[in-house]
Amino acid sequence: MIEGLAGLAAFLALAFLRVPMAFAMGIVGFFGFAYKVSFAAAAAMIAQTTYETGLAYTLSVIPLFILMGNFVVRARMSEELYHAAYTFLGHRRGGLAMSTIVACAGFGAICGSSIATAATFSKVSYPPMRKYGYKDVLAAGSIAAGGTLGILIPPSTIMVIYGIMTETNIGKLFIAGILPGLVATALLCLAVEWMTWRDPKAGPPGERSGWAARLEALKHVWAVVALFVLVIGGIYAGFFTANEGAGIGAGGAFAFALARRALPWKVFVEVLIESVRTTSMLFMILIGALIFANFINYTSMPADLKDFALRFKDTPWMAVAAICVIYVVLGTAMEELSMILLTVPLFFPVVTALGYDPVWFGIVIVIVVQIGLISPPVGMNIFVVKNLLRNISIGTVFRGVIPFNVALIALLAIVVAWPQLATFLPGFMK
Amino acid sequence: MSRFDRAVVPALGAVAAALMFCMMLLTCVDVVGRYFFNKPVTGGFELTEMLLAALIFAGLPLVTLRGDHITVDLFDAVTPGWLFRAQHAVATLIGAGCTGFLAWRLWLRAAELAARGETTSELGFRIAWLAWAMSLLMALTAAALVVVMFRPPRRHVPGEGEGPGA
Repeated sequence: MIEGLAGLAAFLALAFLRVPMAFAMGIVGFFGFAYKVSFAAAAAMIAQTTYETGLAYTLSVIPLFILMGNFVVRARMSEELYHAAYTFLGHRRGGLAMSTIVACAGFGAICGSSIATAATFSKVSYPPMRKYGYKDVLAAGSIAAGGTLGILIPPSTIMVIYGIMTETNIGKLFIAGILPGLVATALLCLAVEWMTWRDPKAGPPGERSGWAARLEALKHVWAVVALFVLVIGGIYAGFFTANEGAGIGAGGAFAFALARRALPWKVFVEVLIESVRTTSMLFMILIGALIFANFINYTSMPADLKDFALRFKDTPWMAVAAICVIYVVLGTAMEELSMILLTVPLFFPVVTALGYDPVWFGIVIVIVVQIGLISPPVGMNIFVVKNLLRNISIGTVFRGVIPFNVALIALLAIVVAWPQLATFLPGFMK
Repeated sequence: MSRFDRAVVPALGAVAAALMFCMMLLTCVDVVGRYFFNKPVTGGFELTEMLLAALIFAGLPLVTLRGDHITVDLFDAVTPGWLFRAQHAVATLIGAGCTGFLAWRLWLRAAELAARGETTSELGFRIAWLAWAMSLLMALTAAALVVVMFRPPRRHVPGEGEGPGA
């Protein structure tokens, strides 16, 4: 146990010295392994881990989903989604903010990144909200929070990473995200309702649209529906694996972007390079985390944690509740990807030993990441929104996300209390 | 942009973009071929693996030169200038050490694969070539970190060029 804790402390010290996370984890993992086994073994281990992670077929799902998301962002499908949601919800109090949430949910169905979703809707839905006199707290809060639906509604980068780390079926994880994603959308809309109930001037209603306009607007989102049904439907029905689904999705998104003339040569090349850069960044930190985990697995820490957790055998929900609290607290200050790469290898064996479903725990992890992304002081979505909407102060965004944070914590409680919400749909898969 | 950037960035960028596009095409052709023509791509599996490895490693120097590695930057705004420069120097030096060491170990691994004459199962590609490329690109990443070390550090603006995972 002591060795494991010392390793974690060394990692934190390096990280706060501003050593990139990937190197900080790798160094501690290397020297820890060398201390436990031998220097030669440690040197062989890091080369082995790096080489094999690079050549792992299942990991090809990562660049392909990233590429799909980047094409989707360029294909301007977000505007149609927002317009369609607006025709249904715009006339309500806070309706434009609810439209943002619902459009984000739709966008999340074809894009696996929370940051990309938040960035896209900062551009798409902030201008209309401003036009109708929405207060910045509500506008910024709804965009930052809506963005997090990108990782809960499949496809999802976080689910892919969790699936790879724990060897859980990525297709099942995707399907498990659908129902919680719908509940999350409703809860976030409720948060909008609450904010405008407290302060009706924060979100005045827009114009009412007739049914003809609504149907017309719905027709324009067919591309989003087609892509979602093709990729997620194909995975659910077992036509192809998650890897193949990712490739097909990227190909489909490429075709749509091309057909809409949204892809001049320069943009096309930039999208490809951007996707490679994101992939490399991710793999770097993934390799670092795997090296670190190789060391941790040689210490007594995982077994000790498991023994400790098994004392709660009769009340397993207490262990789960404790883990959730730890995550919510960590998420306020930590970068979320590093947080899960570091902690999932420790918590996963504990949770499965208590008899919980790995797929369900994956959804729990995604929700705590969502909460972390909009928790001050360090929440990536908050920063993204603040950066793109320069005239809004960071304090305004902080205040804006709080009600949404409460809504997501409620979602976490619901999914913990009723695991069936996550496990029902994947139960039908082979 | 320094001379190092001009020599590395456009070339690697073009290679990376081409690899990424090939990977997408390969997957699509493989699935379509399997369902409609009953004929998947020969060696598609191992081609995907090799493309993946190549594109990850080709991207590493690019990420490094942009200073995009994920870092704890919570205190950037309040760190005094001298400490910030010191942190930058130490952190990049450590990074260069890590990647340099890893490049060397990968080289040894490539040599081992070459000595055993290992090839991929379907296409018979000599895998050592790929391992050598991985090692060289890792060494290039180490060199890039040395170049970055001599640059004035940029304070990180939260939300810019940000995290991939979420």
